[in-house]
Amino acid sequence: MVFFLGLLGCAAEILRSATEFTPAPPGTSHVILLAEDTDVTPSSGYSRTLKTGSRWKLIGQTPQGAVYEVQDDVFMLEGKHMHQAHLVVTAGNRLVGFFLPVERAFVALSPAQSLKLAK
Amino acid sequence: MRNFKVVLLAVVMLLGTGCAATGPKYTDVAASIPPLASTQGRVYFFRPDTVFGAAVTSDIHLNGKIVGRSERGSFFFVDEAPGNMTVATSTEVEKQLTFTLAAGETKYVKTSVSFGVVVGRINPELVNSAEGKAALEGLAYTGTALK
Repeated sequence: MVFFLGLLGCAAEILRSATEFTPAPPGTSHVILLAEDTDVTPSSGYSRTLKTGSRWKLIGQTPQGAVYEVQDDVFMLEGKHMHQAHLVVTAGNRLVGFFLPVERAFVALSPAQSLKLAK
Repeated sequence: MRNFKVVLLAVVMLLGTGCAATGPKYTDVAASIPPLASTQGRVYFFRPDTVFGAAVTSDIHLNGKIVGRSERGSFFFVDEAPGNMTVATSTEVEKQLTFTLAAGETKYVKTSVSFGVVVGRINPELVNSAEGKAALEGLAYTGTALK
């Protein structure tokens, strides 16, 4: 069934909502480092793995949380199309969703997941 | 029976032979590739030399204009002003990739073929610099003439 759905091109657009993005002040250098692989599945689209050892730099804020961009790698969400994406993280290292920089949109992760960070 | 024929046709199309792109190899042109201007970003487009889907090709659109073609075993690059980028390929369906490009930044877009209903699909995706640089080795340059 999945095979035939794939053949028919049934991948859906990633559900997203417009959001405001405020860039971090120049000189901001806060980086988080993931301590373990973390599998995430947005409310639409395919699952992704946030890799152990990946580094994510704070680049700004949205109303939903702080925005972190992967360093020396790429991270994308995939539905009907592919989109460069950043993490949206709140206090307590809770990953609440993703920010699509081109679409300036927020993609929710439900339920939110805890990120285990390296010291 | 009709569905079987459609699937069989798709398989034949995907496995059908398609010639690899012709052109100088990356190693032969690497020294001629100009340095990136500080006010622009660079996007490399490449497609590995794989037999699967070799006959399936598509124009590659960047922000609405054709910049090259996805062909087996080929690469080219485009320099653009910084900003939002939308890459699109089209066979039986259009597939898009969106990303940002900063001044002085180089990004790598890989295209590959996947199953479709009839002719397969060409999917663009970003890869990291390490993978992108390694993939260019051995591919044929199909961009505009280099000085």
